[in-house]
Amino acid sequence: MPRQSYSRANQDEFGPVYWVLLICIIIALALMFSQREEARLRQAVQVKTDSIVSPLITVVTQPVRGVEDFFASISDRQRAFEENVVLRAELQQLRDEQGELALLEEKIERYEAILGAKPDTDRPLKKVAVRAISDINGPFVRALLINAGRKDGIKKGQAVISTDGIVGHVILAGEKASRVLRLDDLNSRIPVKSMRSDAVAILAGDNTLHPRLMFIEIGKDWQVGDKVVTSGDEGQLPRGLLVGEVIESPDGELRVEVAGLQKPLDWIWVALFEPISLPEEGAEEEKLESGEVVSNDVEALQ
Amino acid sequence: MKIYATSSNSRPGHLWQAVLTVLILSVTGIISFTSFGFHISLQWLPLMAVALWPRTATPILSVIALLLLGLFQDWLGYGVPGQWAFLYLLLFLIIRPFERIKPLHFGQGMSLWLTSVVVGFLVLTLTGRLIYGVWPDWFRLIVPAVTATIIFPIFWLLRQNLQAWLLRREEAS
Repeated sequence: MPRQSYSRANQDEFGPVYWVLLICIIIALALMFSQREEARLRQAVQVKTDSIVSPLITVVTQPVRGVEDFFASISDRQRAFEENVVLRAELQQLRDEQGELALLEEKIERYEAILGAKPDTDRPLKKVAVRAISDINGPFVRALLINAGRKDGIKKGQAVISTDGIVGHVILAGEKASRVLRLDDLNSRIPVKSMRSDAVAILAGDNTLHPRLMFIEIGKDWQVGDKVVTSGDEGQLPRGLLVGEVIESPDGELRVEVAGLQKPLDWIWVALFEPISLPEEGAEEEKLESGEVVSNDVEALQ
Repeated sequence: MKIYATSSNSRPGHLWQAVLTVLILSVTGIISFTSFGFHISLQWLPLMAVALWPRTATPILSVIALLLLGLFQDWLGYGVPGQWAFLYLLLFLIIRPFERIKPLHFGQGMSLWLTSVVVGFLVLTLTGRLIYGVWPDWFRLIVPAVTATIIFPIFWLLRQNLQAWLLRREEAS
């Protein structure tokens, strides 16, 4: 610090400055420790300002995205020949499998007709293409700002997916912009299951590209290499969205390599999935009190 | 070169220029990109403007402005409100630009910046640990600091030119 450039003579007149500084520091500290995740202030202010600032952010990040795409296209071109050979082989295999799938589909439809079942996969049919205009990759935070909001049908809790799988879910939906909590964020918790064994767990973000698998039931079958998908438990996210693959960390912990987060995010989709709403509290009790449920049951028995 | 009295509380000095610079750098700071697997973030750019806060800016208004600018930075970075605000204010307390009597030369500016980097590193690490209960992603913390340090001489040059231009304008008027 250049001490010789500072004045010590008139320090007394700066007394009020230090008082204001102290008060402001206390305000900052109070905000920091009281306004944690999902705080009221952030929601109210952010939802409004996101919509205002997002066009500006789009303009600022546009040239960077251009440069990023340019470098990505160079790497893609270098791999194009090798990928072409692999893709031809895969295409041949897929054509064979497509025929088998058509047969299976027909068979399933027949079984469904016999059983009268209506199996719903919960897989969202409608998606909105959006642009990740800001990818916040701080030392503690992993979030995205997308250029679509309530106006486009986006709501809190909806899944955000890339071509490789789920990347997170909407936590704040503004009028024209929304915030997305990425799967690797410290606060991200989503229910997942193994495609192979149907074992369920919670995928917990911890600021790494390999979030942890938590709350695994004792004896449940999880293995390295298992494909992990969303389980759809709690009804907040659609079932069956690809999350990634199980890996083992050096300390023996089971983690998931999130497929959707291995590449820079630009164009992504929001799945317009309607979360399963909880039954209204007290509705059943009211019905019971009025005898509505009992009379209906009696009618059904008759 | 004109030497301003630093004790004046009646005029804003170069407060608005400083606020505008921090705002521009905060918005620029949201740019982050990945090229060839290397993630680059410019999140620490506004800290340069805080480290080189003008000595002529009204101190009390500067403190209030820094609190608001810090909250804006927290909002942009989607952090807990108050973390960057606390860093800006603490840095202001350590650097005390309003007590400076002479303009800085590059070596002094660089030493102020390096002090800011150390303070920033410590504040973000410790407050983050207290708030989130985990240590930060060191790589994501160091890369923006290093990137800003590389950019610092360019920022210094721009600041000097802008300062000279403003002085010429003020003298002419």
